[in-house]
Amino acid sequence: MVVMTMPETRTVGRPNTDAETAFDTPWNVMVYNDPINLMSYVTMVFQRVFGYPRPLAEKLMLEVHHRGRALVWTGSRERAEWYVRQLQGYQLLARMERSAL
Amino acid sequence: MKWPRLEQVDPSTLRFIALPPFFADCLLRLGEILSQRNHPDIARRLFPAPSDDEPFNAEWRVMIAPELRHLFVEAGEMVLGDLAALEPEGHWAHTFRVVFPAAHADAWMSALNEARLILGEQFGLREEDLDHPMSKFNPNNARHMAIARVWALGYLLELLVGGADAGARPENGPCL
Repeated sequence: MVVMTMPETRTVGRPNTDAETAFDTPWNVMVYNDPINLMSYVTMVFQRVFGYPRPLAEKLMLEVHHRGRALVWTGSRERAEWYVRQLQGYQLLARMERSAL
Repeated sequence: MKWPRLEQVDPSTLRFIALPPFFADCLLRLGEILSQRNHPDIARRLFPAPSDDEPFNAEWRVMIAPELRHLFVEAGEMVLGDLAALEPEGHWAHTFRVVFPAAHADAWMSALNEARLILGEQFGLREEDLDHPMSKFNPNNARHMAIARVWALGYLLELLVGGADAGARPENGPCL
């Protein structure tokens, strides 16, 4: 879009974590339902941001639509932050949260 | 009635054709709609908190949200520039067309989607409002007009998404 350079890697301060294991705890990227966003648009965004094949992107989109939210990715905090920024750049309601595991 | 279509003129050029006057009017209102992005209620939707951690969210508001805002503003300005080429399709035609660079397709998707979100927030639209956008339609009712605009802009966005699926978009990566 617009200027299509790869994003510089800028890390916002680490969310407060008080456990030694915080570095190992996976982070979840969640996408929440929105009454306006088109289903086809959300599917396209999942394909673009994560490189998911269309069937998986559609499955996640439908989960967002029917259940109100979907876990779309789990992994390192830095990567989760990057994905949230990407998804919000496409104007999706995206958040990150520490995995319960 | 002819419905709007998205055509690839050549590898570097796209155009919307057969745009009814209402669709053209929606596009011409994009600047006015997008100018609402800084309203607090709308900004909360466009730049949502990324986590439950308030210190982290505060840093995000300072460091990331301005980047996102710049991205949206830039996309909107690009589309508004392209809309200078919006024109009737012939002297007696009741439809319009607009030609724009294929490289701007993502900017168009961003601006159309953002405008829909802004209208949705302004008028508190819900999914059920959009399921039956034309029932009991009253052109003097601002909410009804907003629903119709969300629908029309969504129609155009759907064409662009379809074009992206068909490979009619530039080889762009994610938008940041």
